Amino acid sequence: MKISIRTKIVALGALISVLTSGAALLLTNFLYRNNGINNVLKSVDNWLSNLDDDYRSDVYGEEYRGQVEATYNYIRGIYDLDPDDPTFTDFKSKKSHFKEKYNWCYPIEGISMHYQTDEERTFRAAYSELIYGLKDAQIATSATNVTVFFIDNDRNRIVYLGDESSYTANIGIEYDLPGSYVENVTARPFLDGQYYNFNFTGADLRGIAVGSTADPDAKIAYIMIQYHFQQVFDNANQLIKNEAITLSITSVVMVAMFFILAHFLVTKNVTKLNKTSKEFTNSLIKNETLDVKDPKIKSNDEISDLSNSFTQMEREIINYVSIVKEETQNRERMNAELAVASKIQLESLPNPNYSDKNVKLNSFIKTAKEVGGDFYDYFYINENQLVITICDVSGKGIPAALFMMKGKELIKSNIKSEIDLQSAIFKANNNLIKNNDENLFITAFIAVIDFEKNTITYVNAGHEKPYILSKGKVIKLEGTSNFVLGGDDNFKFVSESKAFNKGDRIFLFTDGLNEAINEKEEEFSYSRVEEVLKNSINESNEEIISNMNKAQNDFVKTQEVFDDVTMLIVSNGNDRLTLNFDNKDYSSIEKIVDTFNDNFSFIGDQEKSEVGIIIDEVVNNIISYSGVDELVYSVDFEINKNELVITFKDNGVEFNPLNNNKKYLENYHDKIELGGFGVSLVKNLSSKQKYEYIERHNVLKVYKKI
Amino acid sequence: MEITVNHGNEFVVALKGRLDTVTSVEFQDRLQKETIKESMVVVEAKDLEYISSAGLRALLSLKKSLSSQGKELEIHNLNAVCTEVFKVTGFNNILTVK
Repeated sequence: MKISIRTKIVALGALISVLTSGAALLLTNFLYRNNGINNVLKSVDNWLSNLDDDYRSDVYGEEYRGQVEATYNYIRGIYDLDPDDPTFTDFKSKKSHFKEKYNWCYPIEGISMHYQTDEERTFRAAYSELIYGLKDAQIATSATNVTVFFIDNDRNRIVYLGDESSYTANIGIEYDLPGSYVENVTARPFLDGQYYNFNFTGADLRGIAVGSTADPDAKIAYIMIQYHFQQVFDNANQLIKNEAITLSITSVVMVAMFFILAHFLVTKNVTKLNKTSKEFTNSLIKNETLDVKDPKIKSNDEISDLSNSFTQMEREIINYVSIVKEETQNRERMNAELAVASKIQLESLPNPNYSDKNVKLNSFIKTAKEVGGDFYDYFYINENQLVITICDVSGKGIPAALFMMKGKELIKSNIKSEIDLQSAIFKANNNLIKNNDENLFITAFIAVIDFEKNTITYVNAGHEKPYILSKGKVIKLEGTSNFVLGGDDNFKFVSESKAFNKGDRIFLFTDGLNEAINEKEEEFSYSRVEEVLKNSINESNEEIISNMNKAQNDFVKTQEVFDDVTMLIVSNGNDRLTLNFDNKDYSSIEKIVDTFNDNFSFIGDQEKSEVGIIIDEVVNNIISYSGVDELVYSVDFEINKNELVITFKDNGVEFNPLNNNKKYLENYHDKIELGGFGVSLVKNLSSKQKYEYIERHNVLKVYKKI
Repeated sequence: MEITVNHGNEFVVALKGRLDTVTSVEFQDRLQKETIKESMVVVEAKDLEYISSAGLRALLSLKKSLSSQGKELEIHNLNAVCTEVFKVTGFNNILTVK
């Protein structure tokens, strides 16, 4: 999946934002939640302790002792009334009244003006002052409530005296004293006086004890400063939240700014460069006219370096493309010229197939490049002597081709002018060496076939050794391997002679054949050449070349053939063909007929058909009725003036087929298996037949006018 | 050897190449695969190069087999070589040649 740099930066930014915000939240929470509450309390304490002395004195218990004492005495007086004491009927009735109504409460409103006594009025004034004092204390300490109460230890009750807001509040309301109150001397005082921790309502309450005027240690009442810490906590939490939100917003804004900056500094340029390179590549692909596309990046960093390299590369590419175009045109022109050169070169070679009364010659040439370095040649130097050459010029292409032309003409002209082969090659070699600055050379096999003496005289100048196919055998033509042509000045070439009888053939080739390599780096090699020749010994020249090609192609398979391949096969006598067999395979009959037809292509079609019938009848008989397990037979064709002599020779049991005199089929109910009409056909289709049993062989000669 | 068969009013077997030791076996194998319903079988020999005694035997076998089913065999358009062979062996008297 393709993810753009921009996306990556945004994703990274978002991730950093989330992580920063999360970390801020966690950290704030940690600091203020765990240690924070104590800090808040401490800070409240600090703040209180640092209050102005005036405010402190306002809430100092001594300040209002008188008022507290007056209030206490008055309320205590009522509180302690015995409801059953008849002496205090007046108060008693009041108390019972309010007991019913307020459950032992005694609201100050209840003290109406027309019941006022002096005592009541004194209380009233003191009480008002006390409430004002409490109010001051509340304001000074920012406390939630400031409450005054006394404790009835006998009945285990708290009796409410008043608070900062209750001018006429529920004075005298009683509460059960929930558990104990603890005098706390270690707690840090935030108001002067004696401190107590109360655990009344679950809140953290602190109070100061107020002693009586007469006995300050009497602790007649307590002034309790009450904070609603929940509110403090809420405030602190709100603060934490606000801080966290602020932090998150800040980090998001920072990341956004980072992205915007990154975009302007980095990604924008990368995008530009990307767009420009795409445009350039597209016009390159579409083969449009190219011009330098500048991404126009103004920054001074790696990206601008890259941009500069890119434009430099564009220039190089434009330059290179124009060079390539020119080169391509040149190469096309060169190829066209090479094709012409190749055609001229091939045309300079003689006809690939040639035959006359002396010889049947077939060749094959395949060049690996347009023009090759291989060539063959043949020409008569007199009525009975034919020169055949096969050569391979070192190197490839035009120089090799030009050198080849030179070599071919030098060999030909020298052979024609010199008395013998050795001196002709000697001269040709010396001529080739002149002006051979390229140090090219030619491997060559040059032979003179004498059709009168039935010999072959040859010089092998560093060339592949050819094979002679004679009487069913394949013989490698070993002998002196001379130095190559064009290699050494005044080199003395040695020629050799061998018998080359009628019906013999010579197969010549260049190293492109035996040195062809397959994918396992194995060479086609002499042994495979020899194997193909052995398997094709009874086949025509054309078939041999075709078999060799097929075998080589099958061998190299997909491997490219790097070298030229040239083959030349020359038969002594177009009038002689001998085929040898050592099996009882009926398909050999077709092979014999086909080879005959190929070899003696000059014979008329009707004659060929009649020969075909003769071959079919006689060979069928040889195979079917030889009477031996290991049959060996040969068929030899020889043309003597206008007569074809076919000689069938086999190692079967002595049997003269000509003795069968059945000539006509009288009646088709006759037993046709006797093979009667085969022989009568042979007799009818030929002019003469002769049977002999010589050296344990049946020899049947069939003569036929052609 | 190319053998082409064509069913119709007549069953036509066209031969191209040589009818010899090897191909006459092919010829017989090929005809054995055919169900011949037609009453007339024609061997079209226009492209037959030559025929050897093995080929003649194959034709004779075909003739015998067809005769036993009451069917007829004709050989058409023999070339000069084949005509000569037929004449030499007397087959022209036994087979209907046109």
